[in-house]
Amino acid sequence: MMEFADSSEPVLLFAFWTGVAASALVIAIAVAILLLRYRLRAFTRRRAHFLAQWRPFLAVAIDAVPAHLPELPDEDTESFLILWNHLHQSLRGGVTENLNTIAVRLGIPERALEALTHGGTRERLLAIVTLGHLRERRAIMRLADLTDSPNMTLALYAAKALTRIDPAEAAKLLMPRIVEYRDWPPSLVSGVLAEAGPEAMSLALARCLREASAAELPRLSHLLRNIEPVVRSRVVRELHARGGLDTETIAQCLQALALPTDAELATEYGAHPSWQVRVHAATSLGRIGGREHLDVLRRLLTDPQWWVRYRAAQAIVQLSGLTGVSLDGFRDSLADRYARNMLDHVVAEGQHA
Amino acid sequence: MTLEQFVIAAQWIFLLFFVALNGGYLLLNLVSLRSLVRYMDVRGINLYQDMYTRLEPPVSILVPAYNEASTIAASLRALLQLNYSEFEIIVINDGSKDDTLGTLLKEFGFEPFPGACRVSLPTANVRGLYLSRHYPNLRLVDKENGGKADALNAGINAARYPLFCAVDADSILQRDSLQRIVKPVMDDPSVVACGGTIRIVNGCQVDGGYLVKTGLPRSLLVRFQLIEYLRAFLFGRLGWAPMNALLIISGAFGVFRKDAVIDVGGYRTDTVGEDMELIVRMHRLRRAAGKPCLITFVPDPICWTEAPESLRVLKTQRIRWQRGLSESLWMNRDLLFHKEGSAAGWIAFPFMLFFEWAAPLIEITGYVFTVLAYLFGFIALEVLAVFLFVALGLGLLLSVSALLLEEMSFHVYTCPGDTLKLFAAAVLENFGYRQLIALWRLRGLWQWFRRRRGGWGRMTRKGHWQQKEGG
Repeated sequence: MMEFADSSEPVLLFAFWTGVAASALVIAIAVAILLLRYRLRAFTRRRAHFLAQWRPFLAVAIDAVPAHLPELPDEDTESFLILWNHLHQSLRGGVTENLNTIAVRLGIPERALEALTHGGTRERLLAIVTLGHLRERRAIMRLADLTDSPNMTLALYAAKALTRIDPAEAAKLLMPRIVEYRDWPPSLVSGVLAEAGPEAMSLALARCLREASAAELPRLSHLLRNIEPVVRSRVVRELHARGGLDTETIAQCLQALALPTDAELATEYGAHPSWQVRVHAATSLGRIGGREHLDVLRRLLTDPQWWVRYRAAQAIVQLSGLTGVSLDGFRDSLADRYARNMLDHVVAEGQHA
Repeated sequence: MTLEQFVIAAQWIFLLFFVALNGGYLLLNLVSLRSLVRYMDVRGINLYQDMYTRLEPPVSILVPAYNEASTIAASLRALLQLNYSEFEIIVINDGSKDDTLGTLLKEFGFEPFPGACRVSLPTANVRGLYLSRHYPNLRLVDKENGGKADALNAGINAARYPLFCAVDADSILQRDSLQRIVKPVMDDPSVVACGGTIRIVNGCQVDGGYLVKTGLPRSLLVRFQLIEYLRAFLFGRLGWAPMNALLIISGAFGVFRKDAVIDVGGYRTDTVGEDMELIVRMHRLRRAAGKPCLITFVPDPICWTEAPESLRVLKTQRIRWQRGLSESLWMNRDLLFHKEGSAAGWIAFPFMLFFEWAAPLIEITGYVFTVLAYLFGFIALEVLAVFLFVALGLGLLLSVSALLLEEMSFHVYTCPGDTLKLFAAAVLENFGYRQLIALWRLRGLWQWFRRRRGGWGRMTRKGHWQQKEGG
């Protein structure tokens, strides 16, 4: 029998030792899995014990803070903060002040400040949200530093905590960062600023938008919704007067229009070459327009782009309710079949809503 | 070249292939470990509500349905209870031959709706549009049969929102599944698609269409599939995401930017792997056009689906998957080493080609060659033993490394004995199951090569998990 490969062949040796290494790793991994499972069981038991004690306690204590509080060992700080922050997000009004009182008496601000500086990502995130709910002013400078973190999650949560603690200070600290950090998603930034409310942010945002370059406007124009309506209207008109706006900025401006006096601006964009702009013009007219704008909407109802016709039909239905115009009469006056179909579509949707 | 040299060279080739195949996946596991550690750092501290609530973009959930009369009502009721600020559900009846349409009309009070049709993507004839009297965000598209891809395209045509989520009719989600899968899209507007992790529901307890308790499947065959899912479909994919080289998002659950999908022509209807083909095509066309193409993945177990419990159904599935893989790669072969291809074209595509597409051929040839070489006396018994030892050892290493990652992250199966049972399954799957899968995949490869249109085959749905809900 010709045996071409025997145990001295390099290929055999390589295969054998590869198999041995793989087997050794399998055993090591099996041991690691068992250890992890053991640790998980211990953690789960501890967490269950914590919740069994603290959940009912906090459910009662948020109505009236008791004189004596249970001890909170360091190992249970994370569990406490998860539960505490969850309650803060779920509840409103005076009970959140009671939650804060409990936290202060347990020394949570100090623990959170410590975690902010020395903790890992998880500890810092919890600390950031906690300090925001506590409105802990001692954290302001450290939170401001964290808004420069390359970890976007940490940065945005830090920004939100700042707006909770001191909206005016947050406006000053955040505006330059909002302009500079292009990776901050506009929708999340808007959510952060909404925490402070339009009164605190309006002037700073208005200035930011006025000074924005053409390259920055498409991104920053998403923040128009965070400006209070009168100031917003002024900013939009100034941007419109500037001219040469890109499609995205115009769309955001149209979505931001809130005053009936701005309806003429929306009318002007009803004939824009971009259908994305015409869509928002139609939507705006439905929101802030009047009877005098029905003719513009009639024209948009015959637009070649489906979405423009759809939004125009929705706007017409909205305005008919406000202005008393008969929808049936309006429909019968339409010569275009597609326009009539679209109006029927939107009316049927409304009947099922 | 002498016969001896040929035998030894062949041994080297097969050995190096096994090492490279398993080594490649181990490397992916290591890459996924980094993403996983960062993800798990913030998971479970429940801060979603603090940042994302009220900012979520509206989503159209598309549910293609073909012959789903026994399960569609429960599935839709569960979807209607998702925790999400604004969404619509569009169920597409794809010319079902059973009473799917009748069930839908009866259970949800659907009424004909004079919809103004919008055709961004061509589809088979749409027979009617319906709105639900009871649920204003529920719509029905009734159409002639055209296949799953065609049904999804019809759903895209009817969708009103900028994002759509493709969901299989038998997928079981969690109440926050939509929140979790949309989060990457909110974090980065350049994300065009995001996939969800698919887990196996067999053995779990389901109530009201939602998972209430996890459990290991009783069937060893399904446990093997569970290990396989962890190894290849979870941690393997998670390794590709940081490189933006993910070439597949499961059709069972994934979210997409509607305009990005319409831009590339929607789902292709001439492939059985329409889910993978769409993603590969998005990479190919969007990268070539210089458009953003960030495709990512959420590792959380947020979608559960039934795995085949019989060999016959499993065989059909795996043959189809291999055909789908072959078609997807072939139809988009321009992505391979394309100058704009980036990691998707220069790393992921060649990896898929050698270690997924060609793997069954090389693997089976390796086994057969080694055994025949022994039987004909070209190699000694100890040589055969060593090669089998290394093949099994590497396969086992890959499986248990997936178990380790699972233990470090989601540890879905919490009963004390589950770990040992999974470990046992990870060992046993290397003795016959993996080889059988390789054989079926080889058949899928052959079918593709001969361009046979085998179709989907029939998935026999047991719906065990439905029994608690239906009584």
